[in-house]
Amino acid sequence: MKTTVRTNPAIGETIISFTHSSGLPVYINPKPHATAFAVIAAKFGSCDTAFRLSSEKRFTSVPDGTAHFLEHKLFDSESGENAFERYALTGAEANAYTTFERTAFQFSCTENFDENLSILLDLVTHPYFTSSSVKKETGIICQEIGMYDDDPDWQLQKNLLDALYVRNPVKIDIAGTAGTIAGITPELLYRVHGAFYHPSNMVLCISGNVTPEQVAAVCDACLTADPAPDIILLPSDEPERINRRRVTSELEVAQPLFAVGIKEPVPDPSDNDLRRSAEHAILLQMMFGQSGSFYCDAYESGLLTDRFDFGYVNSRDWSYISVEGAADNPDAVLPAVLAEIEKRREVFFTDEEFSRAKKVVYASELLAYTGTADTASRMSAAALEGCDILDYADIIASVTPEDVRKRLDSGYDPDTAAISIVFPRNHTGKDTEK
Amino acid sequence: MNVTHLSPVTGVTFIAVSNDKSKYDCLTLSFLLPRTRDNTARCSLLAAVINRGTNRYPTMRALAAVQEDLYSASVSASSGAVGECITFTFSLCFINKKYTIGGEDLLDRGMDLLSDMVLNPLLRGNGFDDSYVATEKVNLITDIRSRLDNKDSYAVRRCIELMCEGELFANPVDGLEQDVAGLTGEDIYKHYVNIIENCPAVAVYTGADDHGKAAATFSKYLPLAARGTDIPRTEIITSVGGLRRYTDVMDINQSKLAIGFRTGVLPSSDEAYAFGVFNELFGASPTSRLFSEVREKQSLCYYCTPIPQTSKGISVVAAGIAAADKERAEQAIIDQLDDIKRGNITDTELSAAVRSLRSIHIGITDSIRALNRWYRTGFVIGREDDPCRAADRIARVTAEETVAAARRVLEDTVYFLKGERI
Repeated sequence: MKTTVRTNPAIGETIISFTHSSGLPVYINPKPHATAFAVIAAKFGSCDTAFRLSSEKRFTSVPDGTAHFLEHKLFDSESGENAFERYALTGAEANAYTTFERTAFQFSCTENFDENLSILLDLVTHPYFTSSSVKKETGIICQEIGMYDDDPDWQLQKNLLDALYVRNPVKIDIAGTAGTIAGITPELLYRVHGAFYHPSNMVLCISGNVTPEQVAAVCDACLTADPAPDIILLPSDEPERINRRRVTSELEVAQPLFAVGIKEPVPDPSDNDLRRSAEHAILLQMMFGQSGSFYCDAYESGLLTDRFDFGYVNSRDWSYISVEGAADNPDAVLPAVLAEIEKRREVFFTDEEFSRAKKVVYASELLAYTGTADTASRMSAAALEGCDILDYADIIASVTPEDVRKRLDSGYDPDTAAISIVFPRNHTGKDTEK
Repeated sequence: MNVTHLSPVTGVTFIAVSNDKSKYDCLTLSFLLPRTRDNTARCSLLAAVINRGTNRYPTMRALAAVQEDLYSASVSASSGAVGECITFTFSLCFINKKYTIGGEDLLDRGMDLLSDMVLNPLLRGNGFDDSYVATEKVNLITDIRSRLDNKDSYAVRRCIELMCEGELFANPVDGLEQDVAGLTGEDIYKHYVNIIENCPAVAVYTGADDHGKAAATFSKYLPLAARGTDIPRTEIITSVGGLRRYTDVMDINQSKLAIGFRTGVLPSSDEAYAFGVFNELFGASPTSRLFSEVREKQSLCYYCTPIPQTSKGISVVAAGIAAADKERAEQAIIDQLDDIKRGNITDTELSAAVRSLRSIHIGITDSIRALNRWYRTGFVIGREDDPCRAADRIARVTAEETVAAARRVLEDTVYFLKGERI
């Protein structure tokens, strides 16, 4: 087993990595914590709506919500004992989730790490689906979909993505709909699993008091070296323009909620993901942070409240700037955000503001390593995108005001901005766009 | 675990807990007062106004800038509660000197800022700044109204308010809208003075620094006067009258069922550990009865879980369901409780519940914030165990103790937030 050890002394973190003979990339972050956390993530999410193997000519379309449905069903086993029951015997707390680009299965434990890791590897590599279990799961997932339909923050984000994107599947609900998941069959789940859950299409990330030898031994016992399928995904054909400028909905909320998004161009492959993220993070901190004039003036004038957040959201082939919160007059927020951006193109920030923002972003990165769960989860997301998060703190430290200035000049286009608003039911000035 | 208890002056306790697993340190200073209706409104508005600025950093912008310059140190006031005791807490969290660029030690600068927030607030005339008070009243009232945005927590909260009507625990921690609306800058200044001068206080430091240094820094920057020592206690009710039922109708997709139970367990008692094991076995874990029977086998809901309020001796089972399944779901939940009360638990179930709860307690030692909360809460409820000793006790909980804890659980109130759509 050939391991690579990388250490960043400034943040006191190490990542040991190796590729198991099955093709599974493994990343281990040693920590003295009592809790060890492991996550295995497959590069298959809700955006992967059509694929073919290199031996096939035609693409296979999968119903919306398939990745999430598969996540639920992988906890079943042929013996009838589900993975939660197995974890209970070894004392682990387990969970799973699906995002636009990946499906992750995880556990945390304070004992029996090797046994728990065996269960984790087994559940992702030994599927068992039947018609009756698929049917039963449909009922549970429909309840989950119903729950999210009432969740204002979820609706806000879903509508924002629908406003920003014309064709990219990121605009489709991760869980699908009652209608789309009704079309999911055991055969489809087996086919999708066979394509996307090969060890070489997954990453295993662990944070805690474990050794590479320990992990390799469990991998040896659980995984085989089978040929990897060559998956070809249907590329997204997304134009630069947005879908629409404004989307609204009504829910049982006390105050209108808003999410402003500014669609950024598809990243150039030469544009390092982490550097781009660092530059956006520092720029946004200066522009919308609590010590900036924008937020303080807007708060004091009553435009914004303390329910306010912002960030740069990016993934495989999409990215956008997000500014969200609660406001009595949400339609005033988008013009205010765009005016701030234009103002900053004219009058950039001071060195003092830049230095302060950099400290905030640096501290945020440092704190992300505090627990084993956060650390392993971030490692898995980065590893699937081919990034090494150990570099991130140094990248933040190396960003200059000129870098950030260039970032502002090359994006933040007002023509690609949109707003999603969730109004209280029966609000005055009812919107008719949706 | 290395823990130091000190009492710098009468009525003020300082607890230091060593932990070098984290990259940051935390110090909290909590003043304790009864969870009366008046106090909840005053404390939550007071916290919001204090967070707007201090005498030295009089604007939100100036205060944010100094925190950001301290590597985004978090310095704030907040109003929370442990049972029927309000914990009005000032907290400071900052990066440990091992990880700042150039090794800068932020303890003194952070404590200086915290001291400014606690002892040197921004005043105008006989009270807090009226314009800040006016803005924060509007924001707080909006926050109070926004409780209904999250239907899951709203249903649980409504259930508790209805179940505990007439008890201090029914008072929402953030206050009632009508109480907040009538407050002035002068009112909350008087409240502030009373808190700072008279209420018993507990400070908890969790971090990598030497306990002596942390205690000396605390006394240097927060020289509090002697005060009363009576910690507000929580009334634990061990019996119920008839079952009470309430329904609200709302235009939502998924209905919410919240069943309130009295557990009758004193949070500092040895029995609390057996109740914890029962709670895991009943519904808290993915192998629990509620998950495996109500969700997995009967497909009645996406979630069905107990939310214990251990400091008050109550628990609310919350479920998201289709409106048509209300009776079936309620019966399924009660059936599982009754089955456990009859002593029908397997060794496997018990072992899984013990392992799960034990692991949660051991995991507390990994988190600075969780450790800080453990000792702060422990001080209020009179719990003396550290998380590791608690984990050891949990490992020894027997089936008999678990069943005995289950038998004390009494159904009190059923609250149903009925959706009109499905």
